[in-house]
Amino acid sequence: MNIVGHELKKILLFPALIGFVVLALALNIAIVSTMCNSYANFIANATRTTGVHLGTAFNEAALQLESGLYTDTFRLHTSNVVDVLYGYDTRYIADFAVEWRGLSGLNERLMRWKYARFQYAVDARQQAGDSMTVYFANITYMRHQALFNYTMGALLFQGIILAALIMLLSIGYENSATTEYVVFTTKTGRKVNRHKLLAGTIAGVGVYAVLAIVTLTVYFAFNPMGGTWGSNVSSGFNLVRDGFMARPFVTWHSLNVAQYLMAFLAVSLGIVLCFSFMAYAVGLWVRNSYIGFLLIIALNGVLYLLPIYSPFHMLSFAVNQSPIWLVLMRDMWFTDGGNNIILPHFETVGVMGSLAVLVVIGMFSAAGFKRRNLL
Amino acid sequence: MENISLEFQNGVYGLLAPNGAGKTTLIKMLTTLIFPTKGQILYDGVEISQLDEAYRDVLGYLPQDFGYYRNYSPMQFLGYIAALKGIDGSTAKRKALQLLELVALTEVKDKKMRKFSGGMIQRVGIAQAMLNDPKILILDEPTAGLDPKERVRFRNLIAGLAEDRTVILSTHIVSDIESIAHQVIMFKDHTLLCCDSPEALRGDRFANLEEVFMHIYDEAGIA
Amino acid sequence: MRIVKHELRKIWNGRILLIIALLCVGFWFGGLREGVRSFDSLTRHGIFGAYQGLMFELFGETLESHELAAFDLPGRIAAVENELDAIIAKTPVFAVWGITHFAQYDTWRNSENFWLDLGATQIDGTVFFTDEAIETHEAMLQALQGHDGTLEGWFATPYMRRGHLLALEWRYANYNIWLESMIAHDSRPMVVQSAERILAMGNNSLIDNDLTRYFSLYSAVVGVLAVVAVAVLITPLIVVDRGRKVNYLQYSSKIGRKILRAQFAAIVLSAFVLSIAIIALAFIPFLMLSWRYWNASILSSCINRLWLYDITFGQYVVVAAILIIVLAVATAGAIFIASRFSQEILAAMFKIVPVTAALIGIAIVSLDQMFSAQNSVFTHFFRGQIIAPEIIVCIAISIICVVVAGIFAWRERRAELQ
Repeated sequence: MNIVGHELKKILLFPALIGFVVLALALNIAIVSTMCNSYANFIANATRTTGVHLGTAFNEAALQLESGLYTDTFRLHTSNVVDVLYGYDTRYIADFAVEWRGLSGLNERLMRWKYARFQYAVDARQQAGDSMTVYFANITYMRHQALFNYTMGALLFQGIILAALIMLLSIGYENSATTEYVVFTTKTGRKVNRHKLLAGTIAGVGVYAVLAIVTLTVYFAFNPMGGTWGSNVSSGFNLVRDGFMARPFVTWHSLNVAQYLMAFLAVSLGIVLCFSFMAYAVGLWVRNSYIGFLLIIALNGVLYLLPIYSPFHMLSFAVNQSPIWLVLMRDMWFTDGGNNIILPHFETVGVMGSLAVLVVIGMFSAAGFKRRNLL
Repeated sequence: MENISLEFQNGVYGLLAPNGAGKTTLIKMLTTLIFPTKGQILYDGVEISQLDEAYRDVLGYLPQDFGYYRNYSPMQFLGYIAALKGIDGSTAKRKALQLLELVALTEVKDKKMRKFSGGMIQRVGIAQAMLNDPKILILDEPTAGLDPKERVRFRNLIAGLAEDRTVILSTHIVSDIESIAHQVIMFKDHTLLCCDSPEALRGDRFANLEEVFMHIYDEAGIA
Repeated sequence: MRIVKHELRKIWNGRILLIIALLCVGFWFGGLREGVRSFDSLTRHGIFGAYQGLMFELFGETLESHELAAFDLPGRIAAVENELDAIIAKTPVFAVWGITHFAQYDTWRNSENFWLDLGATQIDGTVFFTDEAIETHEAMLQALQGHDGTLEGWFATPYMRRGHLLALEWRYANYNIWLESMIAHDSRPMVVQSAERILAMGNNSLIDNDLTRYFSLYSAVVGVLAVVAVAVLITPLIVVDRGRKVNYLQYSSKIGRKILRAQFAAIVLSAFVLSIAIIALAFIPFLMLSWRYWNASILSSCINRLWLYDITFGQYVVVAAILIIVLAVATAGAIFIASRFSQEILAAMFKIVPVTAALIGIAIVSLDQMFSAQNSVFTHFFRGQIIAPEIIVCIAISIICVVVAGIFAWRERRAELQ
């Protein structure tokens, strides 16, 4: 077995980790099993017949549906639907953002530039008929939130906590077992931390994958998506709320529910990786894992507070793309991001940028550790 | 530590000094765990920090507080250390079995170490230090936790190992090195006091090394 | 007792206290400060503006029907409408559209033709605004709501004051109808029972509309802080002792395994003291703003949020404080159990983090909107079937944690050290 294999074995056979994962799964299953909605199940089933594109054909197919408890409600909400993106002008959102945040100069220009570009996305969604897809009709916001905010949010929080703990476990294992002197005087020496980084990353991502697969399998067992998989998330029924205003949920690219879920999982994995790397850097500086974990919490606490209290808009915009803010803004991923965000595709830019910064910090930490006296 | 100049050849070197004199500090420097603020440590004429893993490849080390994984068996633990020492799987297994036989742990090679006595753990520690057949073997208080029979056995083991390598052995127990050390190194006030053979240190005045030790450090007001 | 003192000294060390102090500062700037500021603002900028506060100043904690009559809501509404009439009379944009007084404007503004009259077009049921229509509408609004740019100024405009007075009038006209509707339609027995009781006795509380809701959210955040702070404070004690094998010395001394009982006592005492300190520090800024409502009933005037029990705000604060202390003690018990089965801090963290997260969740769902029909424990877990399940849940969890921890401390006398 190579070194990474040994390190992985040490992590994955750690009894408390197995206990944590089992507890998290039990909690997730308990949460998602309470999210059942019989009207949503009806829509999931009905859209297999009607398809997802609203219009005459949809209405005719809806009329053919077998009469039941929800049939009339469904027909009522899916007929005569107005295309909310028709004539939708993003300048008003830009005006609001500029006024609300008191932006001027470069900040104002960038905010207006973002919304000018976003107008193209809005028009493209409208022209492609994305906004005229049914999703979960009048309960779309509730169902979208149930899956992408609450379920994926719970998974994300568990994922980042576990990723940080696992990396601290990996890096701090020798200190905890008092085997540092033996391990760091072998041929591999302090370079063992590279193997620990890889093992910790694989384990963190793997545990997140296990949690996600099991949780989502249970979620979709209780809440089948049926025909709505093909519906676009930029459906006119969907909303985005950022505390100040509710507006249509529009993504930069055309994404159906299945594609959105995949993209969401990819960004989530990126954030999990960020927390792994963060814990790696902290673990190299702080040998006490308890203090290390508290430091990670403190660091993210500072990142959380910085945009709220910073007098510099640009600093706030940058920090709003840090991993902890991305977690908090998960219900806006792939959309314009509201007035906290100045760049298009903030979640992708945020994850990539955070990873790059954390890799550099990790490299500095590793270089520092190489010459550190191990007393 | 200040003003220390030492040269090691093949053979056993006994490090003898009271607590706090700097034995462990010197050992940690020799094992690259800490770095000297001034001066150099050379191996075959090259600075050891430059040699990096090439130096550690010839190093075997048993620390004073030898840590181990409680849920691992000796075979699993040696397998892990062998991987860190860059030894391939099949060689590692063969070498581990051979060493476990040498330290008389063959019967418990697959038992979890959590139930091992202090002496058994120490023997696992000696085995891991020997895995890469090191040219430099550094043992910090290696006989701590061993019973008298094991200590005798250990002394013989070290004497046998020292034929073609440098063994640096730090201990409080003077009798551990008296019979096997080719050279005894003593420190006082973080500086080198002497480095000589046990015979030369004893001379005609003292019956054994313990008397030498007591005399030197009594004079210094340390012992 | 001397041993408990020693254990307390180990727990309350400078480094951990510094971390807890930083934690408190973080919570203050991360949420509590905004909670205090938001409530302060809502006392003047809520749906009733400053009128509810004025009524409280005039009539005290309750509002009797003759006092409501004396407050003369219709008269006050007529007075602000007169002010609006005066504004309309001197603003040319209204004259252009033939508007001479506010009632006329209000009727037109709420008609379906308003935007079409201004020049907007309608295609397939969708109204498309023109720049001209928007400009005219904004000019009218500007005249009616023109202010100095501050929130105070905006809420002081006659247009906004009219809205506040109408909201108050609507509340007093519809509150009982709303209660009757709940009695007729709500499926939660305790909600129906409470609505019937409130209907029978009449809700005459003049407590600030937003106070109880904001305080409940505030106390939930304080609860989270208390749980986290207790976890940070007591986690190292037992784990560090076990990791450094100090427990070998302890168990082989005269006190023996009873040391664990002393440690348990020290942990519970620490949780108790720390939670009281946090409550005292955190509650003071909020109560300084809301002290005057201490004896007012929590049954606020808000329609759509039913507070279930007729207790005073002071009693509500005390119950919230007690529940926070109870949860802090539960945290102490749970962490004691997790620590007892950990040889070192890393293993302990994998147990303590989910335990703390679970207790944070319980603090939030129990304390947020406590004693209202919207409380998650009451509605989602118990479906409104029993009275005050928030209290039952918190106390039950605390008892379970403390009793199980106590059992482990007691059973330690038979535990073998390897």
